Parts: sequence; structure tokens; C-alpha cells
Amino acid sequence: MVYEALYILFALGALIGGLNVVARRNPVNSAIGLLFTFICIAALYILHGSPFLAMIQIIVYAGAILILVVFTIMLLALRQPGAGLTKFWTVPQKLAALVGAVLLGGELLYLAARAVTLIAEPADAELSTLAQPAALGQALFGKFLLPFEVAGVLLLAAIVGAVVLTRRPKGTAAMIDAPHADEKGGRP
Amino acid sequence: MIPVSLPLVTGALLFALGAFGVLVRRNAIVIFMCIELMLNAVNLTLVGLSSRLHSVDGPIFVMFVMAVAAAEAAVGLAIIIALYRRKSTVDVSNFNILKG
Repeated sequence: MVYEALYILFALGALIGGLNVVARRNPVNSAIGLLFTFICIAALYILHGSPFLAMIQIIVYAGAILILVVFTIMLLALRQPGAGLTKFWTVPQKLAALVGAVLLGGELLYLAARAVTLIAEPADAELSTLAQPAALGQALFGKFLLPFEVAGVLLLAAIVGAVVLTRRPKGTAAMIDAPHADEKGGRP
Repeated sequence: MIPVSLPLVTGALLFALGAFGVLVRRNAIVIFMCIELMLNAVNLTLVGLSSRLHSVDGPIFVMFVMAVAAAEAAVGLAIIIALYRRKSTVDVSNFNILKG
């Protein structure tokens, strides 16, 4: 019972963080909302009996990806959008997007309800030990060895791609500092 | 024991929220963050179902999704920086050179 209560608490936390990501005008506020969502989802992984995945979630998402996002926000020196929420309810196309998202959510909820009726209750009510690091490693280096190696190639390609995309052509000035330098009250 | 409906409902709501964000926001960095939100919703669904079905495939898939998300973060943010170099904005409504 206490597990369900904790689960609902952290799930609500994840949803509130997601709302902050979508609705905030300032991207830094969105990034903080995303951090909150990541940590809440890591707590949900622990409640599912896989603390290893929770640690991976914290290290990879909150530690690497979010730092990269915040670093990019700082690097780009965007104009200050101000605090508060985006006004997405004023534009008809965005209202249409809202209707579409509500329909998508309803469809996914219907699928979830169907899945619940299809999945039988397990006989033993213990927590699964399959998500422990030893079992994960055995599956990763046995049954899933080929996808694991392909993921390594994918990461190498991503490294090369990132370097190539951000490399500046020879002879061009550093444009990344230029744009808002002439605006008063812009960047310090 | 956590009922299997909780992760499924949470994942569905988070995914719809991320999809809505991708549709309505115009800042490319915020769109990127909404994509991460959708990936996390899928991961939560995988972990919830595999902990109920006593299967190891779900956590393995979650680890592959995380690897792909890391690659996507590196390349996606590099693309955003390249776009900013070109037009000194990341508002995606300014990038319409493929528009017919």
C-alpha cells in the first residue's frame, strides 16, 4: 500500500516536471523541469525493483544529456524570453495540436487498459530479481551481444557526427558570439 | 507489488505531454527536451511491463534506448548549434528552406 502511494507521488512529480518542460517560456526553466522528471522516473525504477537502471538513469540522463542541454542553452546566448508560461492557447494550430495530443493520450490510455486485462497476475508476488546487474550483464553479453556491439558503432558515429557538425569552416569568424552583442541590456 | 496499470498510465500521460510539446513549441532546444520526455515515458512503460512479466528484455531495451538517446543528444545539439550559426536563432519557424 505504501509502495502504491509512493509510486503515485513520484508519478505525479514526473508529470508536473513534464508540464514545466512544455509550458515554461524560458528554456532553463524547462531544463529544470526535465531534471525533476528524470529524478522522479529514477525513483519509479527503484520502486519497480531495478535500482541499477535508476542509477543509469541518473548518470546518463540527469548527468550527461541534461548537462549537454544546459550547456547548449548557455552557449547560444538566446534573447531572454522572460519568465512565465507560453501562450499556446491563442493560436488555432496549437489548439489543434492540443486536441491531437489529448486524442493520442486517450488512445494510449485505452491501450494500457487493454494491456492490463491481457496480462495475468503472477503467481509469486515477490520483486523480480531479473533487473539486477548480474542478470542484466549476462543477457547483454549473451543474447544481446550483437545489438550491444552495434550500439558501440552508433556511439562512435555520433561522436564523429557531432565533431563534424560543429566544426567551423576555415577562415570564418566566431559567429557564435556576435549576434546580440549590439543590443542594449542583452548579454553582459 | 505495484499494479501494472500505474506505469502504463504514467507512461501514456508523459508520452502525450511530450508529443504535445513537440507540436506546440518553437524553440528547438525545448523540442529536443520534449523528445527526451517521450523516450523516458517509453522506458517507464518497458520497465513496468518487464517487472510484471519477470523478463529481462525490458531493462535491456531501456539501456539501448539510453544509448540511442545519448547519441541523439550529441548529434541533435550539434545540429542546433549549426542552425544557430546560420541564422542566429533556434526558433524553428525561421527554418523553412525545404518548404515547397
